[in-house]
Amino acid sequence: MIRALFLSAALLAATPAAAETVAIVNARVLTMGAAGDLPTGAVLVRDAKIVAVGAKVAIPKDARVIDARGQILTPGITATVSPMGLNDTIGSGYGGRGSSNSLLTAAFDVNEDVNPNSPQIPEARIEGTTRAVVTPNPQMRGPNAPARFFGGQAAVIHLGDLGTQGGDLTVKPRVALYLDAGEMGASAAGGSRGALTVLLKQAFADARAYARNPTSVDPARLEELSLSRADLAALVPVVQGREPLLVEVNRASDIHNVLELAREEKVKVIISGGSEAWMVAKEIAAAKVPVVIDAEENQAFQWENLNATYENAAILHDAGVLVAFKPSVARIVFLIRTPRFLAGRTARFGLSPHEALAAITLNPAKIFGVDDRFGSIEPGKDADLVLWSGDPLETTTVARMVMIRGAEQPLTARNRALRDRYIGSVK
Amino acid sequence: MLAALPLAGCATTKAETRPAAAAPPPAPKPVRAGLDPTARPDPFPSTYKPAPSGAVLFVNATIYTAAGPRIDGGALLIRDGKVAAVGQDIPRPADATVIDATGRWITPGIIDPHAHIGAGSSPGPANGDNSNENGPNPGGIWIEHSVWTQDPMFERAREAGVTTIQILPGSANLFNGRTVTLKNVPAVAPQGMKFPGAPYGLKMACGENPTGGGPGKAGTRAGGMMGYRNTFIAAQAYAQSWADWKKRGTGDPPRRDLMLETVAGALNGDIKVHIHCYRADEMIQMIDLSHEFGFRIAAFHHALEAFKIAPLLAKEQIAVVTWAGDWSGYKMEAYDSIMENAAFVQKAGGLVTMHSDNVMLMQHLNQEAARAMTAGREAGLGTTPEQAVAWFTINPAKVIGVAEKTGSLEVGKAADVVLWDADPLSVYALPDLVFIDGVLRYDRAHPAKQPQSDFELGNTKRPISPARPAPRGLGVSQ
Repeated sequence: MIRALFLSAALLAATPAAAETVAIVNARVLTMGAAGDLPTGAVLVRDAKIVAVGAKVAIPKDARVIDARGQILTPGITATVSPMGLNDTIGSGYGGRGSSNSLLTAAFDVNEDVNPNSPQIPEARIEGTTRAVVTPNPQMRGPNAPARFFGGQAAVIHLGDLGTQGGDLTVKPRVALYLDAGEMGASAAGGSRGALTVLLKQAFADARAYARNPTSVDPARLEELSLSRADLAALVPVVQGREPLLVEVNRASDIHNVLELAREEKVKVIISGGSEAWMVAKEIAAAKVPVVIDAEENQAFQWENLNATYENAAILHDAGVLVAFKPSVARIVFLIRTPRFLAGRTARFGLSPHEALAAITLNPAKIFGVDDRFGSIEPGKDADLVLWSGDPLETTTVARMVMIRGAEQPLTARNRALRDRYIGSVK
Repeated sequence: MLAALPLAGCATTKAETRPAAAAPPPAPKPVRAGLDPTARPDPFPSTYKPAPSGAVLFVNATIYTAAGPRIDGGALLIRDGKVAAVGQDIPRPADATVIDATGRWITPGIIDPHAHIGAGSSPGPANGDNSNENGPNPGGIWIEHSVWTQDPMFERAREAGVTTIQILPGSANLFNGRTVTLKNVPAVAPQGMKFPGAPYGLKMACGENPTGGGPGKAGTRAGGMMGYRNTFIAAQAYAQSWADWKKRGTGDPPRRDLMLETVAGALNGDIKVHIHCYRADEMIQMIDLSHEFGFRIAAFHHALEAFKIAPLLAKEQIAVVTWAGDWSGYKMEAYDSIMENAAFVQKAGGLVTMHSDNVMLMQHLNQEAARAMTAGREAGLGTTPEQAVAWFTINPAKVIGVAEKTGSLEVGKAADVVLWDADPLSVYALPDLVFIDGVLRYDRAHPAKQPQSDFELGNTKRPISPARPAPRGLGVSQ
């Protein structure tokens, strides 16, 4: 009986409560939106959306009221350039999925690899992480398979509990095409940056030709380029400026080259990694290119990271660049659930804690074109809300309530179940 | 060692029955240099000697001594490289340089008991040998011979308050060689960093890394256990052959074997045994192995499943060297990982430490401890800030075997001291000053006191971070 009760409670919590009206009152609210920071505020949620936010909000009689006195309410956190849900186990130090098929690079869509039942997802959710920009990792190719510079399509997902209802977590597929234009991309192109630029220009030209007339493309040349029809078709939205390239690039000169190429080819780019982006901050700002920085990066991991510094975020922000943070996905997978500590650490180096919080909430939503749906606490947006026991960037703070698309999430996960199974041995 | 007794008895009998009038025994044949390990037991000696330092008095600080409760409004006096006094009311000698630490915090220097810095260098190609995981006869290697002291991450770690580092060989083999413990000071070669008197460690490994496939690999976990046992059998025999030769005093010495020498050192307790091991079942196998051959395990490293056997580990007095717990699922043997791992071991009465294994994480071991503490508190385990501070100071000093010399702020110990701009358990805290053996090795406000490695000199253009006050955090209006 107790078990049955528990199950039904869990199901209740997990089911998106479309009809439920919830009011969170007396919280310190960091809206990241037009309402700014509210020392004491309320947020009203109905039909999975935020309907009101402010210091004073009229609470309907039928609303379930959550008294959040002493707690801090923020938008849910987004894990950006993440391998979330892609691997059962990730393999020593590396995460993600990639295509090793030479005829499937740009068209490879990692969204199909997301497993909504991965234990990684609840483990991230209980840390207040509610969305992810899932990105392929072209390093995750098979043994002896050739390197690829196009890694494939990134997707925005939510991390809500689907229960046993089936379905998927997709919010927006194909939000960006991943491209490695650093040392690895150069190696994939045959050993130099110069070779990579030539190959990219050829690929863009072929995609334009393909867009004009799909039957006009010479199959022999496709083989030479290792670009299949599917890959050319996937490049079309990029060359037409409808989908950005998410370019993994770190050395200052490589970033400069990418910006030049983007201007010449009239393609939109988002820089990912960007160890030395601070050295070309003005140029990046002038090009209105956002940067998803590896905020932890102050390691000269390879030669292209020689000038990596924790100051990167503040210098870029001060230059007017829109920044978000990503974990070091390509290397070590820790922190895929807790972008908040990346933000907190970076706030020691000139970025204010508020700007650091924006870099894991509103900014990634803007960068990937989904800020009409989430990223801030504003009427009309999905109700992705987290109540924290204190400052969300602090080591001593925990999430007390996590709501995704209006549904309060169970604060359960595999790691907590293991804890509860064994805690009797020490308590 | 029981096996030694009958042989010793035999030798004694021979001596007693020797005729008194016989010629004196022939002089022992001289042993050529390097063939008798006891002739030169420390062949790569430390040359580290701290520079002379004067007296420094910190006043009005919040102090975590790692040897008792937090001291509010505390003072710390360091003199001649040692802690001279600590407490709320201590003598304030006129010759001491006074540092007003109002609003600031003091801890012992951070100690990382598990790093690969310098051996797996940054950038990767700079050191060129990737000795972390490769090499012939890995059990015989001494990782100090791979440490590139110009790795710029030593400076980054020092700026983050790391004063002592144990560097381990990798985990690709059952026996991976000797560890080395360094003071985090600039030096041309590792000899200039080696922690004087620190014991060596033997790095062993269980599970996926040494099992794997490929030539020289154990193939299965059972194959791994056979490999450990065969090697310990060989090491016992090797130790016995040297003991016999010493007792005999004549004839050729046994042929030196660097791997068996290290394993024999682990068997007799001179070398601490550090075992890379994730799963609880494998830790239990290793405990039984240690009982079979009569050696002590100093610590299980990574040990993500320590939470399943915390009371056993406490009873066996085996330390747990681990992370906060979000390194889960990155490999199958890391599938069961909880944030409360350290807190479980603490609560069971065991010895637990944070470790980095990674040069980025090495720069925030204090935060790693704080997060593990928070998880413990949330689970009702009563984990305290003092315990969390011990996880990155005195406890790793105990694991390495240098706790008599450093790891806590107690009179007579090394003045390895970090002055923080905020609570060191806060995400926003950064070191303002770092002292190693009483010498100021890092000053955030003075770029001249921020040494740069040869590798970066004239090569990099990294900005110097200005000394800024710690941010106030999101709990209050900005």
